[in-house]
Amino acid sequence: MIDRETTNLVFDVDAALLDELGERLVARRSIAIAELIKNAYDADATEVTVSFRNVTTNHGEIVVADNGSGMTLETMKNGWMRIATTDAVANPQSKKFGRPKTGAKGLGRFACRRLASCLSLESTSDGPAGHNRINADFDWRSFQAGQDLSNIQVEVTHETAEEIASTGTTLRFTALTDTWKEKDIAEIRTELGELMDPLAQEAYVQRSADKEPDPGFGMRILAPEFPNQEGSPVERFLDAAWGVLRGQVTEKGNPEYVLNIRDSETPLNHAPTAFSFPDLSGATFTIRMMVYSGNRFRTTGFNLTQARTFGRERGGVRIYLDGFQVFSYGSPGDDWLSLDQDGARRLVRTPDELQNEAEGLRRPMLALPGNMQLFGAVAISRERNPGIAVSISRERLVQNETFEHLKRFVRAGIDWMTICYARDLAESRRDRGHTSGSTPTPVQALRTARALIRQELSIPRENRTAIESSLNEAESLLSVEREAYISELSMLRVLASAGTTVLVFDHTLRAMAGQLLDVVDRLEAFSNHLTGDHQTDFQQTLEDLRSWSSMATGQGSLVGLLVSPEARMRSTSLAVRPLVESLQRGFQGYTTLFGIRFENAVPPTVRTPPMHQAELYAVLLNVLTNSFKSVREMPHRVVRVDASATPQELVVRVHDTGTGIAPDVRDEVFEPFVTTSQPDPVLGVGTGLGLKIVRDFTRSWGGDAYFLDPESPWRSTIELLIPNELTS
Amino acid sequence: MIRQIALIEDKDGEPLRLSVEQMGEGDFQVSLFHPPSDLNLTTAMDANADLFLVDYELDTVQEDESIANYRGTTLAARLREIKPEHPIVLLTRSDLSLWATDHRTVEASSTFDDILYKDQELRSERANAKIRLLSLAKDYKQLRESSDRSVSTLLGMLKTDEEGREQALLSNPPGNGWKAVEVAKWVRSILIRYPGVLYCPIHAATALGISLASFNHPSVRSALEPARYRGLFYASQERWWRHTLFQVANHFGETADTGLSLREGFRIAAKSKLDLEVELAVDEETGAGPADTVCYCLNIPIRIESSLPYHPDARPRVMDEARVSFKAIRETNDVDESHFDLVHRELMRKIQREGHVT
Repeated sequence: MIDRETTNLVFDVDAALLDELGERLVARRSIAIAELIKNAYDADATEVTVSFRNVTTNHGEIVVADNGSGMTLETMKNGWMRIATTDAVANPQSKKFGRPKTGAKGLGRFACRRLASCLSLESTSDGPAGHNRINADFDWRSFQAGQDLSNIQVEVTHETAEEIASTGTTLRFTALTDTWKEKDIAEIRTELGELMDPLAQEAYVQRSADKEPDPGFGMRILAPEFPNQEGSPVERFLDAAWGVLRGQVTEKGNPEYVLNIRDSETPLNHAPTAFSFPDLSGATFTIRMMVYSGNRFRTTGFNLTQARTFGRERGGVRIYLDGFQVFSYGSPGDDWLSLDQDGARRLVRTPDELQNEAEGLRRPMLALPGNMQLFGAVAISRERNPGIAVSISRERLVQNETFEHLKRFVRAGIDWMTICYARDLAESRRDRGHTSGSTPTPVQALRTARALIRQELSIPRENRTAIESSLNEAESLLSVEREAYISELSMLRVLASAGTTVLVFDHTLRAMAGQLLDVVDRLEAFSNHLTGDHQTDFQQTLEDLRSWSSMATGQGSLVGLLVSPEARMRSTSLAVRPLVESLQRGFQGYTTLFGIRFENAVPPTVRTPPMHQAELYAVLLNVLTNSFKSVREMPHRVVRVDASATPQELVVRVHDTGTGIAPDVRDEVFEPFVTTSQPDPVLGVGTGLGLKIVRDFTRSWGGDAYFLDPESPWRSTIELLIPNELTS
Repeated sequence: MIRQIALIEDKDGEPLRLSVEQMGEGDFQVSLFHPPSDLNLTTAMDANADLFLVDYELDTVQEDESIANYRGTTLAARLREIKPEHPIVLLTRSDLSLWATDHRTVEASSTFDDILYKDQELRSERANAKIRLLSLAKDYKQLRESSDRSVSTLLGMLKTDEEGREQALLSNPPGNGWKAVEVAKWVRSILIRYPGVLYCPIHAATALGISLASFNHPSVRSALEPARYRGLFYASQERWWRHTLFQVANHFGETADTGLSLREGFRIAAKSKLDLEVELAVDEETGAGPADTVCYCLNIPIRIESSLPYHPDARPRVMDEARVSFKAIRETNDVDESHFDLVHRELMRKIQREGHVT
């Protein structure tokens, strides 16, 4: 016989579910805070403030405070305390401003568990019976696995008041799960700064007529422990864009693109007919394309290296759903539009629909920008584009047909912009070539002037003859000067050849210096046969010979610094102080001879970014040589090298008490063949290329070299700026 | 006993010959030979020399207008073929590495036993150079004259106890039937060069937990005398047997029964038995003591926690691991990042960037 009994069972929810929902689905602290900000937006707040207080310690707190409509006890009971509520589905718009609700399923509040063990909630709202204030404290540590969630009590106090200052909700997190460092705040600032999209306003849903006008939504982040995290140069940076591409999908689903090129007043339009995206009606995007070259960033406060770094860290095309960012898309490392992938594979095929646009251009798609070159926002709306769905983790969109259309819509615009950029590039190159070809030489200009004078019959004949004669003489002088003139390139070739000669000379010089010491040793033995003053004089002569030999060997060691395989072939981080010591030794004979005090004040821990030793030696050698020449005939002869380093750059300064450089020629002396130094018996006549070499090297690294106003007792101070991430 | 030295030098070698003889202070008799244009070394071979000294630069035109169109390295290689039981020393200038060769290559070569710098060691550092040449001449002779070429005979020439021989055996000595040049290479380039079986003064001092200055105190040296290495080529560089050093220090400090560590015991015993305040070996990075090991680049005492493992060579496993101090990583250009393993290379870069590892 079989016993049969029927029982009704219900699902029980274990308290561990909160762990799953909160801590595991929300892996990043920034997403947890973003969810709370979305709640503030949904509550019609116009401002939300996120404060990080003492978060570097174990006793810190995070406070998220908004001025929204707040929660009533009822809202709290049926919304805040109820998991996976359907409120956002039943009421898709906020009460006051009709904002499309951005939070979904109420996961955000449990994401708080990612941040802290304790949460204190205070909310004030306007209610029909007056003003309501509720307070609740959550200690998540009491939500242990194995307990039935519905059996865990949370004490909530509720009070009503006739007058209150304002409505809003304040969430205070204590017993933080992690301490925070500056880089964490920087990261969260970056991500939250991107959460609201200033470029995507047009994609917001139409508000109902019965709602109040939305004054907007602002967000402030306060982190007084990290004052450096104030301010952002993003806007200035974006102003340097080569072009701004805007795209939209019309009501009928047709894509349209407009490109504004920075140096052009006329916008370019593109409306392809080969495809349409009815499911993306109303979707828009704005993308700025950066070109990391030339002087484009000069006025932005970024140098080229910094701009590239910024591009790597912040570049990308992000997706905003109902005004809030869907994380991951466009973040560093994400390539949802396959831009980096296609760029790395050097794909050159022009898309079929752009063949006409690309006519006359040679492989234009090679100019396809990478993610680091693009700063963009794509705006879509769940109401207008219901095909768009968000994955449960809130970090990705579901990879369905609508998402594929979105990719196609954005990528088609970028491909078209690439063609436009390639054309712009080709034209600007052609312009430069044309300009340089059309610039007349001085002789051509003289000949043109002479022809014009001959035709100008209104000028009396004798005057014309005199002018022609002067022009002939000028042409003759120019020809003579041109023949005597040796171009910079020729000079560099000559110097390169001289380099080989120097190596041979140095080898011989060292051998001779060694042989000289052999001779000195033999003469030393002979000196014993001398007496009195003769012996003293003789010893002094031997000492002079030793000194000369030492100086010659020292000069040779300077050549060695530049040409040794180690110096030329390995790029590595270098301690600056020992390098300066090497130069100090190399110049020892010279500094001793002329009574120059050389001070190496470089701190021992200052290092360069990875670079070739020979290059840095070349720079320092040129700067020091100038300083030595400059101080040689001064009564007080001191040269000092010091240096300092920050995470961004290395600064090396060379000071001297020499003749100084007048402020009005401080830039001019970096021009080739400009020299202010006097001929030197050991260091020779200046070629006028030393500082040019110094500046060329430092600029090739993304840095610079320039003279500063020297502080007493110095007469000259040159500063070498070397970024920690070299461009060469 | 006067050692015979054959000096091979091109034109006008007499001053150099005299310099070498002066350096020998009566212990060297130097014969001068010119480099033959065809590498036929019969004349030099007949000299019955204890040591060959070959100048690197041999390309000056001779009095008979012949010219040796090769370097001293080529001649030495030929010599080594003919005379594998004789020491060969290269004579050159200290700056020549920039032009013609690389010191490290030459030092690692089996062609030479040593290099003498004319501009330094024949002029101002003669005493040390003389000791090195004498040691080579004397010990090569001992090896040359050994009729028993077994490993056990070879280990016997190290003049140590059973444990010392076992340690030496772990450092890959040549096998039975060894040649003098192989033994010289092993003793000088492995056993003496790498710390582990033998210790140089700074390693020995650090192992005992005392400063180099204290180690060099005559009383301390005298106490540690039983540990001194007195085997083949010992005269060229001072070394101490590691195991004997520890035995002596333990016995001296009576640490076996007191429970004191060797370092503590040695320092306390030095005070009571030698009436000497010995200084602690301190880590230059942190000032903490006693230091554990020695920085490969700076040759200073350091603690393990302020250094990283470094792999600059293929030393036998019995030798101590090389380590390089944070200070060297931060403040010098002598650290080669290719000698770190991947994990420590990242740490090295972090130290260079930030000055420390957190």
